[in-house]
Amino acid sequence: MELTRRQILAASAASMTLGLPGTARAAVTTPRHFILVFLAGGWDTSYSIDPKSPDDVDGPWIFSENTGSDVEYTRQYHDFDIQLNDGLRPSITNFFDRWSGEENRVSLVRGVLNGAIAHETARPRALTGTPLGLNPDLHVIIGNGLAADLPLGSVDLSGMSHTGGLAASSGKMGFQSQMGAVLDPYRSFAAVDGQPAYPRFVPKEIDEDAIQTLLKKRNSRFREARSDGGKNDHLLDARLEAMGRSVRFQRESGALLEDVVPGEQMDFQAQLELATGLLSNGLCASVMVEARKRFDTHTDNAQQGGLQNRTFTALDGLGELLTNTLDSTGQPLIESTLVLVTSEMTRTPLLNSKAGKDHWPHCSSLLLGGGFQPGRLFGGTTNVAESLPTDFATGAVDPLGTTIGYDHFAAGIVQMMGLDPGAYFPSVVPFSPYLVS
Amino acid sequence: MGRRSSPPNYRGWLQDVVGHDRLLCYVKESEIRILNAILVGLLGCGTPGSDIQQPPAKPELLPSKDRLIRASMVLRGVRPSVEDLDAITADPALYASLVDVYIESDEFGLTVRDIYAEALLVRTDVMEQLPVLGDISDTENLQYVNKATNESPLRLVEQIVVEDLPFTNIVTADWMWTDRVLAGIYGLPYDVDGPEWQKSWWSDGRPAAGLLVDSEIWRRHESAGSNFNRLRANFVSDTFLCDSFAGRDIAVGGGVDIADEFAVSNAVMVTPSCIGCHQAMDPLGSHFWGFKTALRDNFVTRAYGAGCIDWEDPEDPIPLPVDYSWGQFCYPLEHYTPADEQDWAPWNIRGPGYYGLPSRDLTSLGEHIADDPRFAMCAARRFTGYFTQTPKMDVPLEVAGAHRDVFVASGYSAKALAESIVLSDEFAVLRAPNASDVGLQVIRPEQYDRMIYALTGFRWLAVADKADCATTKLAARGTMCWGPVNLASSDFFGYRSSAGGVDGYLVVSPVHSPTPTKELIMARFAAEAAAFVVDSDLMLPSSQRRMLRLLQGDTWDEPMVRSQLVALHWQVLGVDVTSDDEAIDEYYELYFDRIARDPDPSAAWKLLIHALLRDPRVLFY
Repeated sequence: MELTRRQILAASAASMTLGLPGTARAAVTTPRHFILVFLAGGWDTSYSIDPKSPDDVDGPWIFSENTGSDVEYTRQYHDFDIQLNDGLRPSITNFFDRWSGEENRVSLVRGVLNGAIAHETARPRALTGTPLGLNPDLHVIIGNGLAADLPLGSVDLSGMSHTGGLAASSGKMGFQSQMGAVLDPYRSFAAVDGQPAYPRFVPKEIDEDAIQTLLKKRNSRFREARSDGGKNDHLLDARLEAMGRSVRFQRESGALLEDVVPGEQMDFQAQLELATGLLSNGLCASVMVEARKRFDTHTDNAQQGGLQNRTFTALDGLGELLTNTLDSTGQPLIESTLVLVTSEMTRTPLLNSKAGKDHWPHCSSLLLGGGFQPGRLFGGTTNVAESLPTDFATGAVDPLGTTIGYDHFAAGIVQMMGLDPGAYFPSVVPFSPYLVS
Repeated sequence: MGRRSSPPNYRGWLQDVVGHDRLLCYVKESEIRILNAILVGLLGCGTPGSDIQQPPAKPELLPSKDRLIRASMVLRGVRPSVEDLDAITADPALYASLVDVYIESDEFGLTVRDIYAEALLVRTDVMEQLPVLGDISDTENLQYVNKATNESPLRLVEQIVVEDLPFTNIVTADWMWTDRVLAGIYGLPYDVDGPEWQKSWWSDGRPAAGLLVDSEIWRRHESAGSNFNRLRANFVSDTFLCDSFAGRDIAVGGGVDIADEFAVSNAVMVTPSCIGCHQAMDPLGSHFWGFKTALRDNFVTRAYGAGCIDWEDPEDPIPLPVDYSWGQFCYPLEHYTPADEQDWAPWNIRGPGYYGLPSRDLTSLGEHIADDPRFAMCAARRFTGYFTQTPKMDVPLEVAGAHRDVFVASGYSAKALAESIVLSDEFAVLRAPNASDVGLQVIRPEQYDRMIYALTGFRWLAVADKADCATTKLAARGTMCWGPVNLASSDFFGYRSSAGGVDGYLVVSPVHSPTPTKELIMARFAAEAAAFVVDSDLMLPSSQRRMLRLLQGDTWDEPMVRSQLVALHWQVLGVDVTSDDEAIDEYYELYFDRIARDPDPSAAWKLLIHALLRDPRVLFY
């Protein structure tokens, strides 16, 4: 261990600093699109976006050879340092060299206190900014707020979203992309042997229009009969909204979904490609994807290296896609899209007796794209990855500041997207220093 | 059974919150009265007779027919029959007796299973299934393994309710329910000549404690790493007592190295910020050391690959702190080992206990839970919450307390509990101006499936397996084929969670709201069901048809079409209209326009039934 630490410290001292100003950015504008990249299970941020000292934390060096190209070191990119190993995790180096170097499209948020260490309770906190999974998550809130004129507000490709009271604007693709077989009935699953094949009846478009007209009338009459200025009205209004959005989405998404195979789960890369397509084609304003990797490494924490390497490969590809894809105004999507990469928790500073790491409620996240000052580090963590108090105005660590809670963080993201956080998080102070340069 | 009008019961509230009647033994009745007075003052609540506040006006209730529809959907997941609709219309006083009939129906048992599927989160076809190897290698495909493992604990609950046994049996029963596949997985007694599902017994020496000793619950809810069964403790507390430790804020840090099991063991005993939860949670968890921390599908596959011998691979991350061997992971699985029950001791953690009371083993734990006032309140909250689509902890205290009282007085009869809820005025309110009001409910995917089947005879069965599912590289698992699945009530290929249900793993809270996805799914399901029922009905004599009973021969004139539409409005929607009603005009217009474009009456009827099955009076009840 001694030798390893010396090697690491030497490598760290020799690490290169990329305090590059990056490509000059136009003034930060409010994003119109949102991609929530969820790393379910809890990533160990000491492997990438929150480096720590070997004196305090069992980081990736525990499992590294630290010879040849396999050397652990940190590199400074603007305000923040990143844990790198070019041999074991080259994608992380490539990602930050590009997106925090020449492109300069990344900032970090460290030390958001989630306050829960069970997946079932930590996940809704991280996603919804509230303790309850009954509330809508960030991607649903943002989609609902930004896409009144689009077929859908949000589309969940992860299968893990929380729609809450905003469900009428949100869509899902299903665990195995099975919604593809509903959106295009001619791609239905096979019928049981001896039974007629599906689909057995597909109304023509003119028929469906007539049904929609009929159902809307009946919905309105039912609403009149049951109107209460409360739940009944909300549900019947939501039904009207859901009907209208479903028809538009079905009719406008056809070509884009041709590559989605009903019965096959979309991998991370495929989700990111579809997310970009959904946004660029104006089908929704917000998408949630999930990395399809098992970050919950209670045994053998060394797996984090490979998991994160593959994750950053995909994120690099996402950045490329967003750069090369234009939105409805003709601008590259990356200018108008906020990508939030986050998880419900991180992992303990030290290994457990199974060489794994357990749950740690102090979270760190990555911002990619537009809507914030790039190159910034907002918040911070201690030497053992505990949340530090932060000045909400500047985003800088401040002993007199406040610990960033999951509710503050969620409200701040909503504010960054140009929405009123008070409408979704009443009396919560948003953590939103993202425009401070 | 009318709405209770007793004053606020803060003793009930105290028992609900504080948790244990015995903890209240130091609070005298007089003190309760004083506390009542204080709380009334603090909350600004007037008691009956107070001149400070008038009681709220009695809410407007549903007409008896609509109330029956709501009760039928909630209890059975199907609409009332035409005969029941006729009966309640003729005599609204029949409501209670019809509710009794519904509670005695087979469908009520299915609803009980649905309730506890949401609570136990054991319907998990999106997770990997146990492999079809060894003693279960003659199992046709994975869906049988899935049904065996997922439904067994739910069937225990169902049978306790259906047989009207005290509901406390869910944590005390010395039996369980198994089918042939599950019997093979765990080596359970099973009569191959008997019915598919049979009462049986765990035969590995585990204590008797109903769901508390059900392997399929503890395979789903693992104890990860150095968690020392705390996740299981929280599950038990949350599920059976409605008291979630995990829902509380946790400030981890403060110098406690939670990566060190021994440091944690010490901290939870002596650190004030830890003790609050752990002094109650850890003794619950210490009951579960006889169960393996995890037993997943890949353990079994690898065990068969290793020849099922008692061999330990030092390179494998075998779950600690108990040493396992691969021989335990071949069928019948050794999931519970009595000799491991005391393995908590070397870790310097608290031994089995129950909120300060001594507890011997899992049987003792079950008895404590059954005896805990929170158990009855939690059951009342769970049933009320499910029947009113309200999160269980949002069920008003007064409402839950009233149903609990009936439940306890009945000797813990879940049927009496269900009846109390469905007969209450709160259940039948027409409008819901306040957040706590019941109001309209949204059809659940399980209910839509059952309702469509009852009306049309159609089940949305499909085969979505890949062609090579039996020969893929994963065939070391026996097969990866699922066979025909019900798309409406499953998740791996199906649409349950996308239509608002839970998949027990990724989606753990239902969505009770219309969504675009649910609209699309319902529309497709309705189209297939409409095609099925029209095609099959038109081949049958009218007396044997399910829906199109009034159509005769090749005559499709307007009066006949209108008459049929009137009958369908009654059968499907529970709406009594005449043939010249505006609603019938609208449907007839749909029919007429379709016929005008395409003179195929069969296709036109498919369109009409397709629309009827999407009517707001179907989606909402």
